[in-house]
Amino acid sequence: MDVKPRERVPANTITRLHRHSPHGWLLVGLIVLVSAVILALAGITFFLTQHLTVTSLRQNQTRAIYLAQAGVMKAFYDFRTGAGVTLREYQVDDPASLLPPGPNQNAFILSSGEARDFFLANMKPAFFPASATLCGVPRDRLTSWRLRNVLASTSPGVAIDKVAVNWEPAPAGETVIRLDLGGTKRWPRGAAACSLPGVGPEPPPDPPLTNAMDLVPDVPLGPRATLSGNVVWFSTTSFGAGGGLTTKRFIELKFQMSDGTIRVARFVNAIGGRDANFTIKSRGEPRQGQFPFLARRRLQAEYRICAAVAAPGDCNAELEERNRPGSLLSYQELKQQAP
Amino acid sequence: MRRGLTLVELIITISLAAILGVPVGILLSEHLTGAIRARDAAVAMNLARYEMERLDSLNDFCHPDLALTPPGGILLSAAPFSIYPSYAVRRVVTCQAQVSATACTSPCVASPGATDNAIKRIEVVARKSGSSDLLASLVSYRTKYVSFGP
Repeated sequence: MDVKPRERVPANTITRLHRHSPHGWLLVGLIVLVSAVILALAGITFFLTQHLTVTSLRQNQTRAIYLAQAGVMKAFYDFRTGAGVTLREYQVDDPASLLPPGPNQNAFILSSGEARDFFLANMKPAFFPASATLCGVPRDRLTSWRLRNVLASTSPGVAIDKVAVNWEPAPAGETVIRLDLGGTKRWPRGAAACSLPGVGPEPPPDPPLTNAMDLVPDVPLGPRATLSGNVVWFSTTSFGAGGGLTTKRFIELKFQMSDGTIRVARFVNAIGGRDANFTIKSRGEPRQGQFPFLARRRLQAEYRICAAVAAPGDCNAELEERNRPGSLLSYQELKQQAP
Repeated sequence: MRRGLTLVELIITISLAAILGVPVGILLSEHLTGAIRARDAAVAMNLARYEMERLDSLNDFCHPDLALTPPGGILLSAAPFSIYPSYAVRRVVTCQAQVSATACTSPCVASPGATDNAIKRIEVVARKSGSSDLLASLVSYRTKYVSFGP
């Protein structure tokens, strides 16, 4: 076979020499391919990790809400047994739930920065007895409502700073002329038996209270303390008779605590509609799990004592307040985590 | 004349493929495991939530479904749990605290003024059937003589 000789290129000719070499292309190609696969897998890994993270976080959030609910139930149980509500952390995985706080237990925390939460104004047994004379004139009185501090501890302190009263309808001239708490005249101050013309109704919004009776000094309620013998004296006899309201749709007592928070308690003729509530705030924190991402959820629950009371005068003693079945009026999730 | 691949090239290429292929294979395997685990966790939590919400809605401390269970709990087998036989969901109800020795088990008294207060601990646990790995767990409390609603 003849081999064609290579042509000689003249020295003064500019040409491009194209050299084709197959050496190493397989290796290069493989490296490029593997790099691309690794990049793709890295992206998938990241996505999968995020998916697992989100799944785990959602799990912990679900667990947190049920732990918060457990805290609410624990508070109600402590109230009903007479122990009072204790604001602290409770661990759920320990059967006694009374171990000192630890970092690894699932827990719920009862906490609140508002004194109104633990102030119970029980309007269930309230009624209007026959009018009585005060400052020379027959007056209506709302009596037999009870006040209570459901806390077992001294913090936050529960003390009444001001009291305002609202009612509807409120024609001009009707006022509150005296307030007794715990069987003692608290307003007006001094020796006067009543204050004339008195203070008018305090319609919403609250705060601030503009027609309030300022109690000097504040009236404190110690842990688990109860105040009975409470009376609101009105200027006229147009409010109630025979036990209930006659010309009014409702009467509201508004209690401003020393910390500025306000508890409103409503009295109406229907016993089932009368307020007798306190509030519990509970935060659930799951701390155990394969992915211990911290999740917290906080519930606010409103509890009404003596939920099924129908007979007038019932729920007028401490044992009745605790032992009669109560009801959970509402659950509300709070966005604020603490206090 | 076209040159072919050298033996050295081929050996190096195959070796590199083998070295890089092992971790890539492991990564793929872990991906699959992780995806399956995430699915299992999500399904297990949904099943546990279903049961917990159902118990919440009972509104009755003395309901038979809230009775105290044996230590290992009760395996839930009715729908929808029967649709997911690969998951074992158990309900565990224990007495958390009681004012008397029988308050947790005594019937709810219809008359007012009942003093047999008690609190139960309700736990719903989901595992893979035949496995002891915990996939989901929910815990809450229920106290006696507190109902939902005004």
